[in-house]
Amino acid sequence: MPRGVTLYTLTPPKFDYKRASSVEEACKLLATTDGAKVIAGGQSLLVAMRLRLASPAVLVDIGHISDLGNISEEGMGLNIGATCTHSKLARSKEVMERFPILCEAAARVGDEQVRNRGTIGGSISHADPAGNYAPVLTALNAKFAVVSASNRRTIAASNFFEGPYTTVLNGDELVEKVVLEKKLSSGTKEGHSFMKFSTMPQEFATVNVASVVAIKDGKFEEVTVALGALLPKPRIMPELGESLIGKATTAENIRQASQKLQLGSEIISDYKASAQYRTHIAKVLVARSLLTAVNRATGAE
Amino acid sequence: MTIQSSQEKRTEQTYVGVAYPRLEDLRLTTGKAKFLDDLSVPPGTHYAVILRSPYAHAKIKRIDAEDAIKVPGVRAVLTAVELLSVMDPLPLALRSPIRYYPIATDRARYAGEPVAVVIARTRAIAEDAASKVNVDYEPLEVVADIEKALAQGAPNVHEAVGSNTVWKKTFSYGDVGNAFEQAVKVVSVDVRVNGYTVPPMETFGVVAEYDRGSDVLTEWCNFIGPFTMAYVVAKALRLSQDRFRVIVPGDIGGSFGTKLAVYPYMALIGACSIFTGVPVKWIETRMEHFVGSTRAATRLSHLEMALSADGEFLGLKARITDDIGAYPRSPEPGHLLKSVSNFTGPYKIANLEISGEYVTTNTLPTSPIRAFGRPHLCIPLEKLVDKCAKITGTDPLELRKRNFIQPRDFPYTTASGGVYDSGDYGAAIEKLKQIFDLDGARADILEKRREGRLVGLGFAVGIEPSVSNMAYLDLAIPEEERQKATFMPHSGGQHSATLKIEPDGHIVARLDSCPQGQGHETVAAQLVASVLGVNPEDVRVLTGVDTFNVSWSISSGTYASRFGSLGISAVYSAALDMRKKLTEAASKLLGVSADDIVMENGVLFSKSRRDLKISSKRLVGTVYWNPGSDALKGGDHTLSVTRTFNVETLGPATLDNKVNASATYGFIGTAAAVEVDRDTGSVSILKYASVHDSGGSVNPGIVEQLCVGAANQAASHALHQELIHDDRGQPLNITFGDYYVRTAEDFFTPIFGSAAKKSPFTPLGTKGVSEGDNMTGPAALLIAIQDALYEYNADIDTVPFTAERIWSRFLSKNNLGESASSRSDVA
Repeated sequence: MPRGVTLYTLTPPKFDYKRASSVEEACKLLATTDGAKVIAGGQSLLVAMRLRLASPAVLVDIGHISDLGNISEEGMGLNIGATCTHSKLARSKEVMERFPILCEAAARVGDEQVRNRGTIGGSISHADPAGNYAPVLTALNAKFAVVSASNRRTIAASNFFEGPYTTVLNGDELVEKVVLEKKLSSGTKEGHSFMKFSTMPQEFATVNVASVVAIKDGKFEEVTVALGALLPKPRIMPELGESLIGKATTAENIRQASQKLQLGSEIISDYKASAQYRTHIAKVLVARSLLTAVNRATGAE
Repeated sequence: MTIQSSQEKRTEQTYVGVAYPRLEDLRLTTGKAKFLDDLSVPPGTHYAVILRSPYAHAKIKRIDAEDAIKVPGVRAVLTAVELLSVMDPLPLALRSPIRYYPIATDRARYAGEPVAVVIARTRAIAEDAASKVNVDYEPLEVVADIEKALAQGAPNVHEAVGSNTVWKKTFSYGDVGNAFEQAVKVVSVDVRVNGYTVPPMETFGVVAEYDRGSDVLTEWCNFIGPFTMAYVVAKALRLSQDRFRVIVPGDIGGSFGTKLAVYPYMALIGACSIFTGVPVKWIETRMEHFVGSTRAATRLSHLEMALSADGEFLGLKARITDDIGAYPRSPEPGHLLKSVSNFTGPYKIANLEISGEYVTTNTLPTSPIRAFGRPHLCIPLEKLVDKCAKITGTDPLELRKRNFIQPRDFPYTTASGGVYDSGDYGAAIEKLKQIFDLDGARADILEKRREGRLVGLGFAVGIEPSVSNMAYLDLAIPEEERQKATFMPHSGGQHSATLKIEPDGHIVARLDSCPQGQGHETVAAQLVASVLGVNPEDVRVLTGVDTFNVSWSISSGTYASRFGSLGISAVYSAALDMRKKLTEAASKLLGVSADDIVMENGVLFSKSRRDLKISSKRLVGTVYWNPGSDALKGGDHTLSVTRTFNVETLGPATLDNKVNASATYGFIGTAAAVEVDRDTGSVSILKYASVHDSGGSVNPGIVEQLCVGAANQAASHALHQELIHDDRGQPLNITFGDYYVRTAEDFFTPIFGSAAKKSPFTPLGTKGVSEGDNMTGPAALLIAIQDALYEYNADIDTVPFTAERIWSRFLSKNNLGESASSRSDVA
């Protein structure tokens, strides 16, 4: 940026563009090109480039790699390809049957145009703290299959996000797919809920909550709640499990557990919402989403 | 279709009052419309990028553009040093020592103020080069809000003024002192309206081409008028108006008033073209729009009402403080002055005192935003009236009706000089109750309250003035000065339309309006078609302005809801004139008197001898191709008419500061039911209804569409839209991600009703309409939320009332008001 002036640009700085036809080719380009960056739907990166906040020397486009956006079943789980768009995800029958909160989260990303272009791989790699997927995938205990020219590894969602716009990905790596597993013991009912709090539906969230519960005999067997948007990275709230597991799934139990949440001092505070308000909303949303998850599990909703 | 004789005053208005499908929509919705950025540019056009100050207040010590100028393709890097050689300050409506240029001179006074312009062969080159410009600043203490600006010892935004107050004035009408002495009760409210904007989809843009041979500067721009501002730009650029050609394209991608403020950029980009000798194009970016275009004023208001024992409004006092940003640019102090003549709204209040103070701060300057200054007025006034109802224990609608101007009072002159044309406000309220289903709504509220939900009802009413009489700005000039013989008063708000029939019989209507989605093509075509007995599709309507080729006036353009009253009147008058010309020509050719001519299905014939006839096509052809025929000798050989319509009540301001700022005055009544989420403070609109008096609409479908937009903008303004800056004056929400604007997905559907009373001042009785919900909407929502929060005795004093404000001010506290347990009644 220039010194002493504010410049509002429309054009990106000069860059080179390579279209990869396979994941291998994309990895090779990333490994051998200085200043290369992966682009898929471009809904965040292109904006940053046009504002000259990002200036990659080369864009490696993975948006045309065939089958990279596929959703495939694996046992009771699912593999979701990196370039699967939010729209496709939101409307996927397979995903809706197994992980409905992922559809809810996808349906509430940006607006229709963004959802038609933007991808799940791009969204998680961009790691906007207000993004919808981070808390959902963390709560679902998702894993990300990550590849580079020389390596292949699997990273748990809970270890993937490091802070605002930063992940553990190396510069030569790309997310190939999101892996979701599901195992349910007999007699256990599962319920999910994703809630986003924002002034208007399509706005970035001030607080995001994803809840996953397993219920057996009217009692909590598992409780996983992940919060997004109010902290630099998504956070699982294990204390909720500690205070709820084994207890009856009543609204009062949920309310008490939510009120006791300690969110710490890292809460984001800005002109959109103070830390105090975000903390309060987080507790409200945790209680509401847990209750919704319970109702869904028990068929009350 | 039948066209009756022009001798009769009323014509058969076949298409008037019909929700005719919009003729412009195919083009607009299929990407075929040409907006400013789509126009071809002159050969050799260069592209401008504006460098803006990162500081809200700083001395500019040095600008180093040496490296930037060396970038291949860069034509120039221009600063005030260069541009002031071809430019004078932009004239202000206020008398002030402030010199307002569209570029910072020695000081930057808001974050985002232009400091330099890079001009290059392409936009990308200009942006590359811009990053090589270095500016040295000496940051100065920032005055970011009204409180700080008025604090003892505050730094001055303009040292030459010696204070941050740039204008202060008290207007007094009737005997306010006496009214308040007579009062049984005095009720007061305070409201702060934060700075906000209603951003359009298309940003600002200017293409300027200075021709050295003719010394003519041509500018293509998406400026909406008034063309008084074109005069201001010409003055600043030292051009006579015959050498300044302004071309506004027929399609503009939204404005909501903002595009009046294109004018400083018309001066800046025009100066760049004059200085460099090349055509220069500038298109504003979205972020630039938020930091550098315009906004509505931030206002603090304190209102007091003097009440009689039976709830009569005896007098109104207002203390208004407006923060108008870094420069008091024209048309300020319009945020206040534009509303002086209708300050008391629909109420009969004989005694009125308005104290206005205008304050500069280190923030973005202001200009009219949809319903210029009226949300700022309507919100506190209606909150005050609602409070009066509570205090006197009166039904809020009944109290309003008791104080309304009555149908027999029209035309009614307000204490401050407004001349209201027509209305039946009581009938409109009855209509509002009906469309809102008030009884049902009240029952529903009670039911929900029993469930423990926070729900409430609110009402707001207002006057919807249309057209802008330039006279209102003369109130900013001291009376002594206005008494001098040299002073030239301003007045008027005229609108022009030219109608032409081409030699082959095709009809062209040329307007002097700059529509931004208002459907002028359709409305004008409906009018002309109705008078001339053709289909609307047969009338080609041209909008936009070219000051070298269109009949225009200083008030041309599209703002202040002027088309619904004066625009329609100009088009309609021109069409009647054209019909008269046709019948006169026919009377000569047929040898019968003009009174005897009838137009029917494209044929003109004699009523008394039906075999004497001529087709309109042959008639038009004869006028053009055979004007030398014996019958037409000595006659008028043109089929072109221009009519400029003005309303006579638009006179100059008087020395006792009375003025009639508008031509017609519609009425709006709004009712809203809301629910507040007890846990979060979020507000849901359960029901929203408005009744409008537009005097009758040529195209009620278009009016409804415009009002749906206004109601949704109103909800956004009320609940979340504000331009936020930190205490160093740094704007914080400068993208659509941060300053949220409702899209089609978020719209709620209001209920609308009509309570039209024809205006006696316009030929079809129409009045301007569609800005009303922008003022009554936020007011009704505020009152409804206060009602929903009655347990908390909520006094909402800040707009917008965001979820967090509602939560932190009321819901997070447990100190419920006294009425919490006792009250179960409904507003």
